[in-house]
Amino acid sequence: MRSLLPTMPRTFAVSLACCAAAAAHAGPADYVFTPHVVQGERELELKYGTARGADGSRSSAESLGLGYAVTGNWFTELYANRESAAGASARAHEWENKFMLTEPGEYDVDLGMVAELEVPQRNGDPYESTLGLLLQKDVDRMQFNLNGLLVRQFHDGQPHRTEHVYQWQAKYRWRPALEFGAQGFGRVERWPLRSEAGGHDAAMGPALFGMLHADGRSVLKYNAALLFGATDTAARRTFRTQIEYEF
Amino acid sequence: MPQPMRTAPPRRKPLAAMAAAALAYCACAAAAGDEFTIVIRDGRFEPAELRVPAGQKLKLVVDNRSASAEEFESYDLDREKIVPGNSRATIFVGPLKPGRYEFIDELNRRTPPGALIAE
Repeated sequence: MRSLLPTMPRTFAVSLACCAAAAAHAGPADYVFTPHVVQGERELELKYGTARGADGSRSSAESLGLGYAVTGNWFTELYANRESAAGASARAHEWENKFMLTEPGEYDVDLGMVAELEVPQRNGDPYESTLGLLLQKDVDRMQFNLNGLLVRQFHDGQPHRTEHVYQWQAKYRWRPALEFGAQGFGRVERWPLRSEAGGHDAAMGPALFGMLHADGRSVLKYNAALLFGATDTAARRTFRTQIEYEF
Repeated sequence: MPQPMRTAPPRRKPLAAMAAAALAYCACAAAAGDEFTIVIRDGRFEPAELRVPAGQKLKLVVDNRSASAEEFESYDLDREKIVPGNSRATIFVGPLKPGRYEFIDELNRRTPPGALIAE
């Protein structure tokens, strides 16, 4: 996630890398994974987010992805990511793989799994791996999602501490073009959760969802959320959005 | 006097615990109940309307008897599934409240919509 100016002072570069690394776990362009996969689905995806940090600083992130459901249980997607903070930007490539573990509705809770690898574009910056369990429960027109992710960075062959990231959302499926609900993202540095500052970032807020059908199988899907920091160290406000063109 | 041995508290692994609990839960959960079949043939669903019991899980077998792949899709049921030509797919739905739940063939929009009538 980093491509910094060569003249940038080392200390500033290090702090930006740290900010970008933290943002990678609960960054403004993050989205809530869902466990379902539809075979043959192709997807062009754009994600964007901007956040005002706890210290008042502004950061943003963009991501462009191209994905394909290879089978009825496996969806794979490649992303080009960019994050900006303090006037500098950082870039990375990401490979995401999602696996549907149970058929939708077969059991009381639908299960999926996600595995990601993020490769920095700049030498010396950390790689990042993510492994997560995805849960979904539908009750009438309500849909609930809860995901638990393990995120680990690797730098110069040295693994960093594993962080625990969670995501949740609840939405009411009112009509295809407009659904509404709420989303939340959080990161826990240590488990069990401790009370000291910096141990838990959490943000949550209202969200809108929807899809518009084009010709044939083409669908334009969107979701967007305005998140408010729920802990002292979380970003005060984050706006995030995701637009997917499925074809 | 010997000091009592102190043991480190067990490390908790929330994701692993969550996964194990979820899988165990799914393994114990009851599979869907009654089974119903919908046939896709000659550009239409048969039957076009299928009456099913409300309030219980259902197993829908979509039997595609055409040569081309079709896609069973229903916003009402929140289900979307590709069914290759001359093959079957299983879709689990419910429990449904009494009402009408429409579905379409998304790959062939000329196919008239079908519906489940839960009662």
